[in-house]
Amino acid sequence: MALALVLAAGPLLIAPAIAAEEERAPPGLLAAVEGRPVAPALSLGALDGAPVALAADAPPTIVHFFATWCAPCRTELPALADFARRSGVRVLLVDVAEPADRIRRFFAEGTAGAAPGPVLLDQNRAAARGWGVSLLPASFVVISGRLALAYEGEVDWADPKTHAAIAAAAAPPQKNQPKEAQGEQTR
Amino acid sequence: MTTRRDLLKAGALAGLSAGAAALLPRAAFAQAAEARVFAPTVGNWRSFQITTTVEILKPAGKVQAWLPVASFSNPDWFKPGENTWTTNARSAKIVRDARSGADILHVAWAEGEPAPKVELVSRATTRDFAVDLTKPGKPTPLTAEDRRRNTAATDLIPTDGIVKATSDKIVAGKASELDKVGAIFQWIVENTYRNAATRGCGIGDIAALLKSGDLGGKCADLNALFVGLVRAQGIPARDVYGLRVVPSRFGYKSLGANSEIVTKAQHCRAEVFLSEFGWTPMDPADVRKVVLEEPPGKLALDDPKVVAARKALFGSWEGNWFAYNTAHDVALPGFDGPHLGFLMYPQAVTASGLLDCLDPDNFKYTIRAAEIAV
Repeated sequence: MALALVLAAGPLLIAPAIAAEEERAPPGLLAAVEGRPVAPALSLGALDGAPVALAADAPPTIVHFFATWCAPCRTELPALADFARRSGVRVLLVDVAEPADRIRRFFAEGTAGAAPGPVLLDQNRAAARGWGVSLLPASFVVISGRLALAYEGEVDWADPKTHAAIAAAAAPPQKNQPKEAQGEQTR
Repeated sequence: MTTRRDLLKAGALAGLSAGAAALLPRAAFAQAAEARVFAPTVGNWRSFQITTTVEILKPAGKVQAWLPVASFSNPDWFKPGENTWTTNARSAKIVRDARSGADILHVAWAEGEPAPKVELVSRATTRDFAVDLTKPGKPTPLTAEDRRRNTAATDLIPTDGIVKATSDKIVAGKASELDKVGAIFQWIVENTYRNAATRGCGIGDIAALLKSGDLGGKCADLNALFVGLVRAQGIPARDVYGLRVVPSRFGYKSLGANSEIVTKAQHCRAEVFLSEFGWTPMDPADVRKVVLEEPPGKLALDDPKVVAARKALFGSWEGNWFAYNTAHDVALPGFDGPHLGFLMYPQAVTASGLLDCLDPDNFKYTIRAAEIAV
């Protein structure tokens, strides 16, 4: 279900084929998920701590699927951590199908910086499947229990548009405002 | 159990001392230095012994380990031998994963064992093998079950979606099995690359690989992609997971084990079942390994060494490699954790969870290989 939803979001998926060795697609921008469907359930054991569940009334949260073997993930994590520090947005990292020892060593080595949030363990890929993740890294922004933004691939967390997109998605809906406030032109 | 005598080669070497026997691997390395055109043909049988030693450095709670053993068999080129082990474990036995067919040495220690250790000695006999693809024959057809198993999707090797679409595009206009498989082999060689930064042999998540557009990886990625693309055409294919054990006799440093310590020499190959030829060796990932690693490195596709490997590895390979199994989605007996995509490395679990099989120094495990007399 989630995959179809993400597909509906349009430009987030299939990256252009890269023929040249070690060339990578440039980081992209989060895209709105059509219809803001309810986020799939997420309740997993954590790397070093109590199990974590994403509650429907949780504050805006970035759910970020990654793996230590994934090269763009390693590039993206420090940028995501920096974004989380600057913005204060909560981050849940979900490692896909790796032993805890490997993840601990990965963060201990420091090449990807400190983890910007709890690291959840999706050992059997069930969460990745439930969220329709077919490519790592994959990021979802969950607002009030609903999928607001998503991107499969490396997100450009340094781009101001990323912060603006999350801020706009998290802004409360504005009802019964004057037309001027809604940006509609008046004569 | 193994004795020193077993390590002595037959014939001229049979009278050497144990000390001289220890020199055998070096002799093999010296022999391998002579460069020849890479063109394996059906060769003489050779026997190998691999010794896998596992020591759990930080035991906690219930400790278990699972070691792959040779359970693959193809009378044309690989015959598994005996497995023996020594351990301080409470129990150790060979168990077959019913779904995948992989034989596994399952070891369980008593809680509180301060230094869990197991040493497994596995033997097998193998040889260079080649199929003459210009001479079709009438091999025994696969059973329905074997055909089903070797055309099926696995957890990480789907045969629909982007895999099927890519495969169909590659084989467009090709009619015969051989032409289709040839097109897929050449597509892998021309469109993927070996990524030296990939840990271990790769993960083998082929749909993600295709979707990313970044077709880099190692054998468990590139040969799994090959197998998936072939299976997507309904043609039986299988990854064979194993270990390089001795140097290449053709002088290709990249295609052999260049030390008796082969702890990180895991390698998976592929076989395709062609109706007129039977199971046929294929290894496009090793063509990309030659491109990247054969001295001086980063060779062009028209380099003579690459050309020779590209030609040979479509239908033949060298018997300097030890096969474990063709298993996917492996359920470790006595463990309620996730299935493994494949079983090529030793595995172990403690109260802290699965240990990192790609970190042999901290796990810890070592693997040694030697050629032996039968």
